[in-house]
Amino acid sequence: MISSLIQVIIGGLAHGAIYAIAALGFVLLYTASGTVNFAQGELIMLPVFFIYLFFIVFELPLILAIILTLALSALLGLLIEKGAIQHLLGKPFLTIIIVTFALSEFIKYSVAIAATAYARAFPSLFNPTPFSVKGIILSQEDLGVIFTVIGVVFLLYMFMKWTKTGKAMRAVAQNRNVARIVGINVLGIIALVFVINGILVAVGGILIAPIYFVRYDIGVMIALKAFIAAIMGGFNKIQGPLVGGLFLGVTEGLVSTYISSAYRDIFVFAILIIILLIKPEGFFGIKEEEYTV
Amino acid sequence: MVTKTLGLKNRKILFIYGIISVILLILIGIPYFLNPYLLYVLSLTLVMVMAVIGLNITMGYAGQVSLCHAAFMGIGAYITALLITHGHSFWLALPIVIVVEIGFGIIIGYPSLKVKHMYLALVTLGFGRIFYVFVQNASDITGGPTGIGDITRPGFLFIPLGSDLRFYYFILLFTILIIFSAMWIAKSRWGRAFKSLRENEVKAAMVGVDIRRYKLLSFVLGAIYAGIGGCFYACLLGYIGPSGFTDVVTFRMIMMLVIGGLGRLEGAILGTGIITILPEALRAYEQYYILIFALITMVMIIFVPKGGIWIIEKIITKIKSISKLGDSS
Repeated sequence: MISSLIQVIIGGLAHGAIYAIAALGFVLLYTASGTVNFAQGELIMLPVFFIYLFFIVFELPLILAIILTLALSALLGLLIEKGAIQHLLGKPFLTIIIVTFALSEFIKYSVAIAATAYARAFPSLFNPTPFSVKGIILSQEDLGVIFTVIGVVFLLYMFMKWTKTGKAMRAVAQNRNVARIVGINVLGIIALVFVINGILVAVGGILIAPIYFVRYDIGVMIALKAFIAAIMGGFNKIQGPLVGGLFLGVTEGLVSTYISSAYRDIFVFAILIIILLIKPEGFFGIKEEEYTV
Repeated sequence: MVTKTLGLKNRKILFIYGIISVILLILIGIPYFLNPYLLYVLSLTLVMVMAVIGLNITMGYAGQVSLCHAAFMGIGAYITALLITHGHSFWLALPIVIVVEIGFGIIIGYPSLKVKHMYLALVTLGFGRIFYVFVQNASDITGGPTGIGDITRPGFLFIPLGSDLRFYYFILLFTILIIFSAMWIAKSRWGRAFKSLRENEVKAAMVGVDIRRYKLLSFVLGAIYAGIGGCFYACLLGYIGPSGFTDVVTFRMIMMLVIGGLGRLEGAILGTGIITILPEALRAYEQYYILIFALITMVMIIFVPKGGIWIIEKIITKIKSISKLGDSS
């Protein structure tokens, strides 16, 4: 009983880690640029196709395939920022939502046409054989996902804490206007944040490739969950999306094991509504001024 | 001077009524020249006009983000389908749908009182997803992925409406009613309150608009119109399934609004016409049309936020000024 519970929680943490990393991207984008990227799902889906292309089709070594995928994803983030977001800064929020939503549909159906709706399998990146500790069966894949995400988040944290650019990023997140006054290249930082977001979600994408199949619509659900995680945790603190993501993953695991897997998403959504009604700013979020759109 | 401007205004109104009556005559006469498939496309366009007018109230007039209008439409369609297949009348389904949509409009609109645009976008997107998951999984009620079939069409004043042609006229009649009611809303106190909400919430509150009440009202009205659209959708198709009410459908409705003109009733009608009829004309490029429309949507909202109706108005004024030049010379 207890051991199966622990297994469910660890599995949930692995899923939650992926939500957390995508949610972190959302929050970084929001704090730096004030925009919300509804095309986040496609930024998760495209790297999955990139790594499939490099690793399975071109049969490159795994490390090289991963590096190429991350590089391409960073470029993709930059492209979206230069091509769309830059023209939207300061526009009404409705415009930003509609444009990124349209962009998302555009990318999704381009891939659907180019690669067909056929679902392709992707091999596990970690040793798939589970092992057991004191009767608890642990999947090496789950642990691999969790530790990879911890590593990436640690690197990001170090970057933001210790480098000058990282400090500039935090300054922009706190107050764009003041950052501009003290001489920070705000547009440059926003572009950088889009690149970082591209890499973050690409890591998420590479990690989910073996769990889900490689298909044009895998990004949608993960992006939606990441968004929910970001809101649960709080949109303006870096711990917010991490805790929110893990909380969401574990909740999902528990609900689908002990209540109903078909209606899992309905439970998740109900929890979100309750959190929004009780504490709209999330677990860690700080109350923002209500009318600063 | 005064009489001259009055005359101009009268002429403008006459011109508008002229255009409306020409369009009406075309809509009444055209079924006799269409094959059954094109008649179906035209009927579907009118049904979508009802739903998109609903989205226009929530998003266009009141400026509240709604990414779940396909679900509102789906709720209407499923209630109608369930009641009709269980032997009840369409005329019972319609009021029930309206009552249920009021409920859902309040439930979905309620978070909009507490949270900002971004969260509202998510709550509505999530609700759309939840509706899809529910319909897909609750197979003992909704038929699951296979959906509900054999939805019979209603009668109206003892006239059976089974044939496609008769049902088309029935839809046309209701669409006209819907359009007039939406025109009335836009002109009424509600419509003005919605617009003030969209432009600036703080200022709206300062001049005494009850923000909470009107935000909820915009959702409720939007849901009712979409639900009525869903009612007719179910009867027109005779079959409904979960895939008719996904986020892609919501996105298509938003495209219709943006391409036609956000916040303009004529825009909603124009956009719905373009997005529903054009894909039928471009059958050979069927898989590309969503890409093309997504691109057009992005370009329109950035460069022509007032939509297609604005372009048409510009062209008309241009033609008028040119013809006036011709008159004077």
